[in-house]
Amino acid sequence: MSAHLPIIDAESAPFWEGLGHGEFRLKYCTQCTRPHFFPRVYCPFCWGDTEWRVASGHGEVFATTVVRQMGFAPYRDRVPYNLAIVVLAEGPQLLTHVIGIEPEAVRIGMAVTLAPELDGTVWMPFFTPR
Amino acid sequence: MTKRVAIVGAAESDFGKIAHVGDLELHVQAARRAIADAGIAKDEIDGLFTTGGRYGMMPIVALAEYMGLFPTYLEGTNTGGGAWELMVGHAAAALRAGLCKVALVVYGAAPRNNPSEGIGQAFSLPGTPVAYDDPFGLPLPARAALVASRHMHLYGTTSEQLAEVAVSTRKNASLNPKALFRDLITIEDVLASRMIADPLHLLDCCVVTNGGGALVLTLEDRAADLRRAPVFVLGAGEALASETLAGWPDFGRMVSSESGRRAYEQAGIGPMDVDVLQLYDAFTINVVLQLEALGFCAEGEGGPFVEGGTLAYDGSRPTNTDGGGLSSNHPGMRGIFLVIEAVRQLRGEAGAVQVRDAEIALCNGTGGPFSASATVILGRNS
Repeated sequence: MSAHLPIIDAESAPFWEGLGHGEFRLKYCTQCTRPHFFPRVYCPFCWGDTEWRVASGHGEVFATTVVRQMGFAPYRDRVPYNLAIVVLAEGPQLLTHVIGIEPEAVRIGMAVTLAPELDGTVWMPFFTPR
Repeated sequence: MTKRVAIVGAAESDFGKIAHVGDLELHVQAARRAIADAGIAKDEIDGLFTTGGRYGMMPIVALAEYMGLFPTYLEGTNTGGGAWELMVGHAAAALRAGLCKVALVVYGAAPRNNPSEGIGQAFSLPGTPVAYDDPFGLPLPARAALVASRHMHLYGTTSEQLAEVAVSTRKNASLNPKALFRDLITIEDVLASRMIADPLHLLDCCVVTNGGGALVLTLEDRAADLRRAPVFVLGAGEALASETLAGWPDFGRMVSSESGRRAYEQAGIGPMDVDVLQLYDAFTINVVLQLEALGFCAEGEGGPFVEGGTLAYDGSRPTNTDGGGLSSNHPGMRGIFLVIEAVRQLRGEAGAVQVRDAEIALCNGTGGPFSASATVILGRNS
């Protein structure tokens, strides 16, 4: 397994498995009802219990860059590539790649939707313009 | 009345491209110079403040053993490159509380020995925040680039304005014989340097050097017997954002506004009282954000503020007068060099880059580079 691939454990497995079904699974607090990312067993806002829900998969680009130099495989050989912070319609934000468009053409405010892509053995939560 | 805490010794180790040096020995070289500067014996050190490096399970214990120190007060918090400002604040608190009498803050690293390490390396452990960053290929410059993209989007900040930070810092470095890069550069040079992560060019990014530094602190009554004019710790503050950018909801607004507010309050001063400014300049955008967060200009106005050489030693807001991380040195956690240069300035020993009649200096160290911030305000007897 390539060193860059996500470390999948019991806590995170439902998230990564969901991507293989085209779902962005998001953790919600059963006590304060707020969603959070990255997924945790207990709510980071109130330490309440949490449950998985399937999010819309929609979001908006909040920040974007094009990586042109990277020291480590496999991304060393994938430059130039886009990196973006996407804010989900449900509120939380995550680091991702916006794909299916030239990396320089990604704009802040752009509407995007989940587009899982297989990297080795793992479906990655990438996004593409909606 | 609470006794004041003074920095009585400050020194850099050799730094730059120096070869055949290890992380640990650089700690000792810097510490040896700092206690000589202070006129304090090694055996008087009873407080050790260090982040520790890659020295196994108990880095501070390994470092103490290597240095032959047996401190009875220890602080090993690692908040990244700005941990040294946090250490100065914690050392001052420990000295005031009588938990130690002579505090050594010490750092050393030789990243040039292992060029494959560092940028873009995966650090993640299961269930930790960065476990959701590393799979996406996020080199450090890209973190700053994402923040820069947001700042440009919100405030119209330009690449030319970011380049101004690099140009002024290089002007300061040109007068520091030890700085890694000393040749003057122009805005055009920065924009013509290769793109690393849009919108940051090579010259928007800090250098990588080996090096270390050390500070010796004690209470003012002891300081009065020592050889150097004391530099007092007037205020200190710290604050955390998040380890990942994804966990930072008000992304772009530096956590330094909170560490700065606390330090200003403790010191009883404001930004306009500061004569010399040392900001953690891992990337040019970081300086712009810190200037805003610390009240040297309004939020969103950092771009226009740095235009026209503002940050040069002879500009209206002298900043990173040693040449900073952008031009002088950056072994990975350079916050200690901010304090060492501030001490030089307040002692009136900064040579060609001396800010006239400098009485108050502010050092702001950030780590991550946006995860944590610590601010220290220093002053001399006037």
